[in-house]
Amino acid sequence: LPGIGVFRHDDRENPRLPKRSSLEESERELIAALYPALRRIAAVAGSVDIEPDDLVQEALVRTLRKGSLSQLDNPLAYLRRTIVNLASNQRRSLGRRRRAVARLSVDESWLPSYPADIEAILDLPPKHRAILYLVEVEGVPYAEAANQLGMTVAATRAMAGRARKKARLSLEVLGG
Amino acid sequence: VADFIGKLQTLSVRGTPVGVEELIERIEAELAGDPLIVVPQRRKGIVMTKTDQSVTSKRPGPGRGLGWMVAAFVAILIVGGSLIVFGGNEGEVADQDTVPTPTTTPTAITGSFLLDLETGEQTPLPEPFTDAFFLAPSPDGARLYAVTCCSSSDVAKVANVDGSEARTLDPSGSLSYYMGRWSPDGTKIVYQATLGGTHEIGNLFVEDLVSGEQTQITEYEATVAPNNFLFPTFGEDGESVYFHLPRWEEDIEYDVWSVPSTGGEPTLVMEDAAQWVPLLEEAGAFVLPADDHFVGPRMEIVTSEGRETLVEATGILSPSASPDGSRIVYSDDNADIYIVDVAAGEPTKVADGYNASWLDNDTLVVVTD
Repeated sequence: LPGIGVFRHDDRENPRLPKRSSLEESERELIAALYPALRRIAAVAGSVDIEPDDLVQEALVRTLRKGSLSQLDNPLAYLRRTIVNLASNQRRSLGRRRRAVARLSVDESWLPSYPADIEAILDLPPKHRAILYLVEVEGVPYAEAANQLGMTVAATRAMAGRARKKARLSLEVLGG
Repeated sequence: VADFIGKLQTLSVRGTPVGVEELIERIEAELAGDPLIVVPQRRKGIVMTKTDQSVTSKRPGPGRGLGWMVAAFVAILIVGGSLIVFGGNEGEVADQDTVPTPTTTPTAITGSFLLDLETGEQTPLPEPFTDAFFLAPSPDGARLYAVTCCSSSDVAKVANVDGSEARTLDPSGSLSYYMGRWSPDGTKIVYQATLGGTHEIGNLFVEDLVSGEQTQITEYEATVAPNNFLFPTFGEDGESVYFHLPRWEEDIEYDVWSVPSTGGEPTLVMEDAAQWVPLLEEAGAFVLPADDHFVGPRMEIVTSEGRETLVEATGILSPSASPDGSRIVYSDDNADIYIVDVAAGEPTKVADGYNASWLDNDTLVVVTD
């Protein structure tokens, strides 16, 4: 069909694919090795009302439904990109949910709270936070950060610059 | 920078780790249980016939309503209710004075309202526009297409702006007609006909409001997508319809396509683009998609130099050009409505709301809930 060539079902969600009831030992070992790094990026990029482990779990499940982790050239990069994308999507949904909650005047005290300066950083989009974390905290080169987040190096540099500027402005406002 | 790094480090260890063993247990349980997946059977396109005012849809097979709900982010646009399009008399253009008399209510309007951009005055829209999810004014500003979202009972209607002479576009109610947009001459509407409350793509149809003739202009097989709205819109000459389609690679990307408004073979207009806004012949603005979604971090404009950034924002949604083509209104992820000048590129917040479009060059139709 015209135009349909670019459009297909997502095989990751195809029930006709065989289900996997257990992981291979090599996959368990790989998950154990990657877990700390994945959890850190999930904690940085994810919304405060989502447990980092839940993001890691969702990213791994989605990836494993496609195939074995050993088939990936760079499992860490792939999974980190997946986590940041999931965090971005959830941020949108949560933003609307929070607004709906606000309209209904429902008690929001269940939401975790953080100091104002941390909240200022959380106001940054997930990808901005992830870039700053990778570059500034982990010391990852821009080229590798770009690879992990599925962006060009130029775009990564530009986004990092904007993120620094936004964060600096927010922190300056908080600092008076 | 040191202070900032410290805060990021603090953030990176938040929460309570479950540990690797429990994480693996959870993953294996989810993989084994596979609780999320139901994909509708592929089937032939929707067959539609129309007799007088009635539309009959023949949809083969079961599987409707079983769209997989894996991607919760579609819920951005799906809050429940029905998609309702309200329209006016067939072929009859109402006078401008059908616009309701402005009230003095300045703020806190819920539902839909008209916003006078010169005075800031907000005028609540009457039934049946109050619970609309999406509204589209006719080019003459006399009528509105409206739709609520998103359930199997969604209905699309067209009515005069004062709410009179409302007409349901699909009296049978078997399909929902989403994201309708008017042709430049105001005689036709293009919409996405699909099963309400599902993630099915459906197909695009053009309905002649004078004759009642309904033409299917795309032939896509029934299938699903996490974000299934295609945002169809007529080109400036009314001869073509622009829309975007998802494309699965490692992640979901979006491209803009066009198809003749009488039906035919779609052609690719722009890769990595969504929510096309016609501005000039074969030119326009579009949203750069991001993160598996057609909302984007940037609106770009097509110029003789190529693609240029017009405005950056978080989650640009539902852009629409003013009748004179000089400005574009859009909403962002904070449910704020902005207008950006196409020449200057300076956005200005004008209201709170989920989407907005132009009744005329000085008046917006805003949906807030």
